[in-house]
Amino acid sequence: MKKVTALSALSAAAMAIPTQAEVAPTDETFSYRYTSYQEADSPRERTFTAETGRYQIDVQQFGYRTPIGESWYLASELQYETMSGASPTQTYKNDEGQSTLLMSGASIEEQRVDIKVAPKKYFDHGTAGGLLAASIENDYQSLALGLDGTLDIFNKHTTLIGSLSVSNDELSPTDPELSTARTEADGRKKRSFSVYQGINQVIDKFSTVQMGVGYTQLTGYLSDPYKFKDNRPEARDQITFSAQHKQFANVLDGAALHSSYRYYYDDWGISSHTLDLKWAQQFNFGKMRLIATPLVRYYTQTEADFYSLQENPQAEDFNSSDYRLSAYGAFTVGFNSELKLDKVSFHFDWQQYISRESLALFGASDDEAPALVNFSTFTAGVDYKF
Amino acid sequence: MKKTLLLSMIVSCIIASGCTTVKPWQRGYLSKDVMTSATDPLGSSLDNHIYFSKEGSSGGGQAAGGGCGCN
Repeated sequence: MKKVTALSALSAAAMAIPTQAEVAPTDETFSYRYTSYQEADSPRERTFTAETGRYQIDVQQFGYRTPIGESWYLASELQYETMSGASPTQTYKNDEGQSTLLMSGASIEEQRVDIKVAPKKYFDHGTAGGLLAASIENDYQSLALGLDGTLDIFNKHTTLIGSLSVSNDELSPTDPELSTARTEADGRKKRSFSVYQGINQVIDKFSTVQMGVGYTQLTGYLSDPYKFKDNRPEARDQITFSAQHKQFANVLDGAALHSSYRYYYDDWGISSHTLDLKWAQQFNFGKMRLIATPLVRYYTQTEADFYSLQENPQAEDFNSSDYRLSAYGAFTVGFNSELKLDKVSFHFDWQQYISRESLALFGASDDEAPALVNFSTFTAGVDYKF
Repeated sequence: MKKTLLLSMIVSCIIASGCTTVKPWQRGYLSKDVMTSATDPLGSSLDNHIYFSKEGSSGGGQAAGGGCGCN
């Protein structure tokens, strides 16, 4: 089950934003990606149950983008996932003060279908776009709607950006009779409202910068019915401040440094910092072009006010031992590559994600969080321009 | 909303005052593939959905989509 599927689409809407004044694309493109996502096993010495294997997900993505008339462009995406594995249900401190991890006993098998459609109208001095996104799983349904727009000013040196979106999700946990939490969650809703406003600025003929502020309000059932002793508030306000910079560099056949930073905080007590760096390097081989992009990302967050490793917390108190609400830090390293021919481009990407309590920059705790996830992804794909 | 728009205009004016005038025909570097291709739509969509699902914070226009469960 996914708790935040529609919200993903909302963020995507905010990202469907230009990095400089846009003109209507003219390419009709079909894209396909296959990604294998694999989580590392949980540590046997901290796992109470026999099951230590975690999630393995096969993701297939189909994308189709096409101009409609002279000033409209339609972007669509279909994503199909098959997931299997076990997941953490609780972490608690045992009598020796060690963190102990409980995993779901049986391996979970499920599928998810995600559809997004985003039309955009291009004007002389800006754009206006929409988004419709739906995600379907056997235990979670999600629908999101979004609007976004841009306005070019100062001879298109500056672009004002805005987006607005809402989502409505419904939970229907499998085997609701198995626990009180699942029974209570069955049929419950989760709603979100999100707004983003930003500015993109051409600095000089080699660089641009974008800054923005975002606000998201979540309401409804925000706990995880599959976890034990998980009782979260039914509202959450989130604020982000973000900045992205792109710098062209005359290295070999052309390169660019992409850097971004995001500061986040919410009223659950979590604040986080995210720093992303990518170096996109082009190599020309006759009619072929290769763009090789090594990347590194660092993420650190503080823990939620109600995160705890109590084995038996008071039922009426807010409580969760979800590792996502703990204090930790994480590194991603990766390498993306795109080989461009005349009408066809091939993609091969790899990423490795490692998270640890000790990598937290702020608010680090002595408590172990053995459920913290490490994963790798491998992607192969193709784009074809008609 | 009007206040926010006004604030955006003021901030952009301040930023713009520190920037070079770049004519449309001087923007070739800004539209190079290396400036745009690092944000492959499908790749970014999946990457950010994974972060969205596996981390405690999200948003800020750092794209998302795709999936791996929250389990």
